[in-house]
Amino acid sequence: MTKQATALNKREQAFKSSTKARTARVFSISLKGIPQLDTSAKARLEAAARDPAGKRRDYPQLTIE
Amino acid sequence: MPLTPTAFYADHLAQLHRLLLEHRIAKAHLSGTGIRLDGNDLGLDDRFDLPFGELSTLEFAHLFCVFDGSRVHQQAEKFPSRDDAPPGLYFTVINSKIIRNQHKNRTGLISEAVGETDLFIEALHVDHFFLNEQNTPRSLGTIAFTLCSITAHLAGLAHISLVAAGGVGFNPRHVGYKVWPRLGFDAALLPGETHGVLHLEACQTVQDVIAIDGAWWDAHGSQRLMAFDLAVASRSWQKLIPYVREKVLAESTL
Repeated sequence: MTKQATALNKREQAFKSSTKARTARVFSISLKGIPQLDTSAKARLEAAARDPAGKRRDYPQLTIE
Repeated sequence: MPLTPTAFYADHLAQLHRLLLEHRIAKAHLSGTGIRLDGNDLGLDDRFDLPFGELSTLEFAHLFCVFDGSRVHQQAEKFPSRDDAPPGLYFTVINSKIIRNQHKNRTGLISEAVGETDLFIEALHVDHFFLNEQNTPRSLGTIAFTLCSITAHLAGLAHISLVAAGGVGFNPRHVGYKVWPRLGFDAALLPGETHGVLHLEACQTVQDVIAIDGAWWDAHGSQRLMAFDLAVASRSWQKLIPYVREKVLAESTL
């Protein structure tokens, strides 16, 4: 009886200490300092996407039914 | 501040969202667990403070297609990348089981000017997306993209862009130009692209063509930058919602 109660207490304490140690965090994600894509830059990217001689080997791929 | 659902979400996306969250494939691979972001093991109670609101770890995982057990690295790109991705804040996802060998998936948050105005919108750009077909269920990509698009809509983002590759004049092993439009991606036709094809001459976009003659697009279409429009009731949603209901939810056991 005493042994079992002690084991349970230890497990409970371990659970309490592990949950106590874990604190929710907040990660800030900001676009500060990253330039906006303007119309001329977008036109360049659209042209690059159409370049059959582009050096890029892979593009987003998805298999669907 | 948590994301605020739109009336469109409540009427057209909420049920689909709930069904996908309960889907066995999403539970197995997109539950927001086992993720390590720049050396930090994420917990489900962590939060992400973004310019458009606050995301939970699960929402972060869905927005950037982060599969369970992945390592993620954040990178600010101030110039177009060597693969011609726009400047943005990118999240590179490394997962040797889910993502095809030697690949790293990469999705970024970008800010885009509206015409010549001072206004701007925020959007997502999918730079790389490859799944290991041998190790993943066949619907995983569609489920991941749908959860991404729903979360992006809730976040108020304007669109999701990517290069849909292959087609006439391009590498024949790429079929993105056929596949991504089936999920709702669209782009303007090139000048004269359907010239002389009488039944398609009035078309202005890829989706216009597909609505009339999908086989023509499969045979004559080609690579370009495409976008999924996240706006309320867009044509993109009109394609994606029935597609997911028919192809993923109808034939699956939840």
